[in-house]
Amino acid sequence: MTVPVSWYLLLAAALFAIGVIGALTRRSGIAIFLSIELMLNAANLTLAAYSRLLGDRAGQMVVFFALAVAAAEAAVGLALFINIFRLRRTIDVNRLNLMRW
Amino acid sequence: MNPLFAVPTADLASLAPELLLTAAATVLLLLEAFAPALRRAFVPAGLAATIGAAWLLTGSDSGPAFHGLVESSPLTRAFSLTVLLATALGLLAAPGYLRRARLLAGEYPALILWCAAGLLILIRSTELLTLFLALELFSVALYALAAFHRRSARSAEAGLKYFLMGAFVSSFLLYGVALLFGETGSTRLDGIAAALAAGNGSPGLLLLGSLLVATAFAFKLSLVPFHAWAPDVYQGAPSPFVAFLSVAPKVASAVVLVRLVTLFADSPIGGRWPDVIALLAVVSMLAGNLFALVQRDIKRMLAYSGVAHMGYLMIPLASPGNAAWRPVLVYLVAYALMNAGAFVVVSMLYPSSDDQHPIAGLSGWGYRFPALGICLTVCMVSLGGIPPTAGFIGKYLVFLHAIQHQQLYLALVGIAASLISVVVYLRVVYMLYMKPEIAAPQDVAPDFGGQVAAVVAAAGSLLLGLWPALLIDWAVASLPVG
Repeated sequence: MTVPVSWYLLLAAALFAIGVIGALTRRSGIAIFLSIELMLNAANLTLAAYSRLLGDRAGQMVVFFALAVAAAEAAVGLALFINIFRLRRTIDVNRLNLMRW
Repeated sequence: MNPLFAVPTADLASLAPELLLTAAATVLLLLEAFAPALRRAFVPAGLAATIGAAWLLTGSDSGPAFHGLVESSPLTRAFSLTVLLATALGLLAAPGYLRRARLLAGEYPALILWCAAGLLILIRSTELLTLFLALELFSVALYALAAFHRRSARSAEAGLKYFLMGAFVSSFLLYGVALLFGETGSTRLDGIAAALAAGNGSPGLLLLGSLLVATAFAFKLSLVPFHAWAPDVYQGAPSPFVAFLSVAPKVASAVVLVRLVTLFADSPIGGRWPDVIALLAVVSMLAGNLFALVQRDIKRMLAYSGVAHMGYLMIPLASPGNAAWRPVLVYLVAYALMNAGAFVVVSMLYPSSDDQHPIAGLSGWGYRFPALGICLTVCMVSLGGIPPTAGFIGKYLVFLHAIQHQQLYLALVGIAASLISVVVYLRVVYMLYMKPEIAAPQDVAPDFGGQVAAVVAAAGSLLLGLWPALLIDWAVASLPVG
């Protein structure tokens, strides 16, 4: 007996939900970014699982592109974190509030 | 040669504008590293690449390319030209500002050109992976540009906020793509439409997937309730960049949203889509203008006004179909001219530290800078939708579309919102001409390129308002009949 594909889909949905909650509740910019990465990987897992279910490799191909995009996003994002840490000595998003309303 | 890797030259030729933009961006980045002495020529070179791309675009053939992943049609060319117009205005205004702020570097035009290439591909993409990649290409460039004023804490904060919210929403898009792919078995829009019409897949998951995908573009359009990033990013980011940011990504995202809403509204899961869009439109128009009313900072005010304008733009989408394209295109061209023009003037009239932009800081400056004062006044009048300006023509077509499709209430809400907005915009004009003149801060000195951009934008707004046939005939010729 093998693990049914729907379990992967449920796992991915749970990971995505955890990511959303993490991104909305965390205060450290890095922790928010980690949560977003979790959401992206949940989407990748969904794609891979569906790809297996449908017997269509297009889904797995999308995953490769998504991984490359996530890496590019991380490069720019971490550079932004470093820049703001140099200027403000913090990456706590609650304290990054020079602009309001 | 493996047939999988055999790309017909016709496919490659159809990508010529995007290829030119990315090639120029790469060259500029390399020149920044190896020939920084040429720096002064970088932005003009970027401008030349933009004009070249527009020229290639007007000569390109219609039809699908790359096995139907992207398409080219008079429609995509019209919207692409609008994006390139905003790119050109943003680049024209950039050198003066960048020199004043001591930020002149090749990365700036390079990132703008990459961004424009991503937007052009987004407009043409007819497949979800292409859509996702194009969105990421321009988004990542926008995050970096928002933080380009790197010694300014506000700019850094704007970049970080935009990045975190943008990446959050991008993962929604990818998850939505995954669900749509899984339930319909296709990533192509036509394949998805066929699967939806055949009733394949679970309706719940399909609806969730389509909502997640649409959310990503509603975020890029800064529709309420996905607008939270706009005021902070607009205030903190370099002003000439905001002239680009506030227009070009909205043009491309609006095109995708029209495509998606038309696709979903025609399908079995689409019953409620027009209502959802109408709700977004009403909330964005009212909330945008009311928040704009209480702003003291002109860039934040324009950010909320942009939210309201995207609300007006959504009105035709509440009754989707081919007829929705014309008001959308005309509105976006008008919006591109007047909004980019306003930010171009703002970029010249405020100090290069670019921290605060109080509307009161313009007190009496209509007399100190007569040309810029007139340009800003024309842009504000146009944003307020007062004739004889392009903004009026755009609003007229949008409201007319609502009335013709039995949605009188949307037109009435839109007109009420426009009346509020008149107060918002005329406050700036009042400040320019009716208040005592105050002394200018030291480094406020309008440059030639910025003035040209401001005059082009203002003259365009006025010309298209006086001879709307120019714009409407062009739109009719470019768009499918409906």
